[in-house]
Amino acid sequence: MKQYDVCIVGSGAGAAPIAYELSLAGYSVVVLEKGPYLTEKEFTKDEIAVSRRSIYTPRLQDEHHVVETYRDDGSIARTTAAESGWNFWNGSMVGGSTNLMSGYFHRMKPYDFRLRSTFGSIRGANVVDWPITYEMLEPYYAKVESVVGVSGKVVQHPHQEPRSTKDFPYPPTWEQPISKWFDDACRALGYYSIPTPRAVLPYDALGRSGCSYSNFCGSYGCATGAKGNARAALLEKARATGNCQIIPHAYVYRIDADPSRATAVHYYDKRGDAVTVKAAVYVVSAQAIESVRLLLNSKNRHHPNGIGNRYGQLGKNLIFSAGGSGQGRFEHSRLSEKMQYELMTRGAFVNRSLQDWYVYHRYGRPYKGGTIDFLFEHANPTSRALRELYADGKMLRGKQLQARLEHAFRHARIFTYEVFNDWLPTDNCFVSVDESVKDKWGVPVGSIRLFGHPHDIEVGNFLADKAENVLRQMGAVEISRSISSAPPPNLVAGGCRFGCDPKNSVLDPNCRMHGMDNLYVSDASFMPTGGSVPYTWTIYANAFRVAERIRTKLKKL
Amino acid sequence: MIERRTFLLAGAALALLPQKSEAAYAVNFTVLESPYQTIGMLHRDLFEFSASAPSPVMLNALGYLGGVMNDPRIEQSEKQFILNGAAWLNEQSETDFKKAYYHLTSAQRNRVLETVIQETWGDNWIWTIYSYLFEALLCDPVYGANTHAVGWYWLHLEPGYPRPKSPFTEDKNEAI
Ligand SMILES: Cc1cc2nc3c(=O)[nH]c(=O)nc-3n(C[C@H](O)[C@H](O)[C@H](O)COP(=O)(O)OP(=O)(O)OC[C@H]3O[C@@H](n4cnc5c(N)ncnc54)[C@H](O)[C@@H]3O)c2cc1C
Ligand code: SF4
Repeated sequence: MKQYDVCIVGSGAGAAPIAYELSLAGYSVVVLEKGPYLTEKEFTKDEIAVSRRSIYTPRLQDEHHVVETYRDDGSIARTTAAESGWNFWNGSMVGGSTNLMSGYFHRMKPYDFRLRSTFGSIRGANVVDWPITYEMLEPYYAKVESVVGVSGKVVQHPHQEPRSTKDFPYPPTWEQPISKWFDDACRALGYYSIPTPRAVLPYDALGRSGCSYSNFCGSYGCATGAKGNARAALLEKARATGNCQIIPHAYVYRIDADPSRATAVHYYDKRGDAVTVKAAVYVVSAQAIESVRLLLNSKNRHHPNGIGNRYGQLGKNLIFSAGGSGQGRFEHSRLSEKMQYELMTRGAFVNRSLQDWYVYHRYGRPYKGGTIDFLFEHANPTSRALRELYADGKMLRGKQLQARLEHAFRHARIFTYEVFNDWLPTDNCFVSVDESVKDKWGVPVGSIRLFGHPHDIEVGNFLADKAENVLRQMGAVEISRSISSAPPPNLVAGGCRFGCDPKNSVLDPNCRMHGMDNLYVSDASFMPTGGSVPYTWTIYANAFRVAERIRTKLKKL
Repeated sequence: MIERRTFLLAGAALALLPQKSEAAYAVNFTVLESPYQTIGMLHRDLFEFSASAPSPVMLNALGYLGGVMNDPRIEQSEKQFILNGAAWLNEQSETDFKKAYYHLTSAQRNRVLETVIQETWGDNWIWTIYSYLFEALLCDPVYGANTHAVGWYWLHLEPGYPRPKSPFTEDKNEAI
């Protein structure tokens, strides 16, 4: 059996920087990825396959989760995702969910790292400060900008975080004419319009092609390599060193460990045969829910409740991105001919955000607010058509429906916004394992207990009010919102929070498991709180940081 | 950047031509088979022929639904619901007019639809039928529906590129 220096489980945002850094440094790395190895040539804009049949995630009949929610009376409703259709899978392929991201990239801000000490505690929530500071992570945020490729333009605004470089290494991508309408509206309202940084290359660079403005970006694989997904940006380069072996269709089901060291990883290969891998260092990067599940399922006599669960912390404090979304419609009938043309320009990005209320004051005290990203309704035509099926609560038919579709697609366009605020970590939102429900390999599935703190909705609505001001100022009609505690399955973190005290955290500040000499966790699960931004830039940055710590460790071996 | 964009837009009209399919998704069958006679008639009622919109027949919406019924990615319960709904629609027609749905006059069918749409199952079922009808209207023509991209032309839609060369199959990813 080949002995590797590093074995990584999963190949997404938390995994790829480690594979990249350590294979470039000459260490032998193996990446075990459950999904297939898809590259640019396999990715098409096939709505049926990608969005209607979800081919990049497992079939729910084969693999699913148990989902538990609280009823109004406090009792718990339990369902399997196979029964309810509730899908908590994201991208299952080499590069993980980053293949499918839209690439909205925001850094967390200095006060996100000291939420508890800045804003105080909130009843019912387990808010803590991070064991590292923004300043410690900043060099790695900067590294992601240049290595993965982040495009954008720094503008000064009250919540602009400190930067070690003046501006982004790549200018913004091609912008939709509506971005100018947005800027004008913000100017009138006194808001700071921010060009949204994107993990998208505007032109050929870093050995990858520039964006082709395919109009189908989020949820779709990138056929040019412009999107800074973990495979195109990092894993292909790791592989090219000859030191990194990527094994697709490798479903890891158990980690062996003695009291203080991981000793082997076991996976089922494409044919269903069990294979064992040994390495000096092990890294778990299977995304928040699956990393917890794997560690819980790896219980043995030394770790009777799962590896890393001595103090019952494993799986606790699961978080999502709180907030929601809203929209307004722009009608041709209210626009000049030029504006109609501008509105219908396809492919270009809106690239605009607001962070004016990242922190705001209410009732005499500071509140942690968040980010609002603006974009057009997703281009998927079937979903768009289905949204037009009802008018005033009544299902339309025949000519009435046809007229509505014609209008919606040809004479109007929906502009949307997404609110990102903190999903407060609580005792009521966590991952465990349900021994009574197994996946197609006979392995117990993850059970997800969901709970959104009421405070999250209050903040989400506050931000949605501001977003709607902009939509109204721009001239949108039919403005509506959906702010709730429904979790977005693609923006999930926590469950293995890092911290200094083993009694209330799973990982140490370097993301090494407390009490385990050679076992690290690097994916979204390390985050004790999520900041009010999408997570991927932070996951990437932290993984570069962890890679450095592992490198130092390997040097000593 | 601008050059790339101009190139893209110029290429767009040509690329709208249907691509050749390597494998079929939509299936051929006789419309007399159950539940297709019922759903075929319902398709016409839901998305009637008009001067501008393509008809369900032109879209091959029924053949596409046949593909859905064979699709391993669609839950068995969903397929059963499609069959059950057709049976229940006929039951309602028999109750109201003593005939199967597809033997009723247009006015009678309208009355039956108005009744079932009030029921939770009816609203859900018709939504389900619409969702696959819209897929047939807007999918890539390689699926054997949206014939000659009529749906895209009608709604002035340009697809995303690259377009699929064949319908997805469950084992395509497995092979990679
Ligand atoms: C449609 C969509 C849009 C998004 N848009 C944005 C955005 O605009 N901005 C942003 O910041 N974020 C976005 N995200 C979120 C982003 O993709 C995730 O935050 C990020 O990828 C999480 O990184 P991770 O390392 O935790 O997990 P992943 O990147 O998902 O990687 C986990 C990998 O582990 C594999 N795996 C799981 N279990 C096992 C096992 N047992 N054995 C072997 N392998 C296993 C999985 O198959 C997967 O490949 C989006 C996500 C989606 C799906
Ligand atoms: S080419 Fe551009 S728009 Fe298309 S998926 Fe890639 S990054 Fe997104």
